[in-house]
Amino acid sequence: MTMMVLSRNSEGVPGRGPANDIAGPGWTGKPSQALLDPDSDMVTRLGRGDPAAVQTLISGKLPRLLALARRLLGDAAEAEDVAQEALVRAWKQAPSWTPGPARFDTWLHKVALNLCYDRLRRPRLVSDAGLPETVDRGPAPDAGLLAQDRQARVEAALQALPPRQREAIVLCYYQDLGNQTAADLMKVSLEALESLLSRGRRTLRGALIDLSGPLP
Amino acid sequence: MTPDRFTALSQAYGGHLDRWPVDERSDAVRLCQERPHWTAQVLSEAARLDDLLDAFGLEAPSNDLRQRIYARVRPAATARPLGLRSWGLGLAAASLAGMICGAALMNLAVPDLSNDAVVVSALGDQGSVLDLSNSSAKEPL
Repeated sequence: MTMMVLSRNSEGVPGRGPANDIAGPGWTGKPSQALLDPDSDMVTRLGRGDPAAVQTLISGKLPRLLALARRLLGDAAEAEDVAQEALVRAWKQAPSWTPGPARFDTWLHKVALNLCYDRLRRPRLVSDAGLPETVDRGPAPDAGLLAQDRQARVEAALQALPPRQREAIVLCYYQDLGNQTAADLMKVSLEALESLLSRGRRTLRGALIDLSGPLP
Repeated sequence: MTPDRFTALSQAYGGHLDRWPVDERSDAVRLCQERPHWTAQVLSEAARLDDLLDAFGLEAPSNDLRQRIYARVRPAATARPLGLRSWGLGLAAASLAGMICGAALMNLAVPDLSNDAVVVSALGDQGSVLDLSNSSAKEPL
């Protein structure tokens, strides 16, 4: 945790790298930045084929990558494929990894994002099963069902957003990446990122207004 | 920070200042101190959407998925090119094995000089050097 605090940057997010931290593995950078990457030791051990490091990689990164892909793609099976492929690529790249200004976690996000882009470009059979667009007017469900309905509504609203707005919200809000890192990953300016976030949130607020009640 | 900028940031980053760009936070905090009621209302409104977004939680990755990934990575992990440390250990092990084998071969190839058969052979006797089991060769001269 101390390391996270020390590595605060201009994005306002602990431990996040500088603006140009999305290059691939193998690049070199400032040693001080490399020391601040909390994953550097794990990646080094991974490159040596340490089985414990493989476990650390999977347990530490799989949930984040799966969440990223799941919220961007809206499909659990595809998200699993993306997360799996990203981790395998990370393992393959680990022996040639050179600590630099880019953090391993950011690079991993870039890999997963590209895999998601590939899938989003393909013709997709969109299924809205489990994602009700309208409010159920039947008998009052119990709290568990209400929570499920709430989650399904939010997911449906998120999936209905234009892809770039959804991506901005997923990266900044759900993945908790800093604004600079998110902008770099999306290859947009900070101003453009802020605009995408604002428009996306405005649309979500409109789509989910019945869940949150009237605004004051 | 102007009120318009404060509102714009809340609409982009939500109702929690710790999600805002760090280089604008101190100005935002200052504005919160100067106009506590108005800023609280702006943040509260943005936080309502944050709460809704938080409703989209996800289950933890399944053990099946973990195992599938591990299966793709783990077998190859053992086949990684050996590192320097491994090379050193391997070299030491090979050296030790070589010493043991060498000693064993020496025992086979170099006869026991105390063996009478060797002495007999060296003196041109009819006994075979290799026929150490020949009882006649072991007979005293």
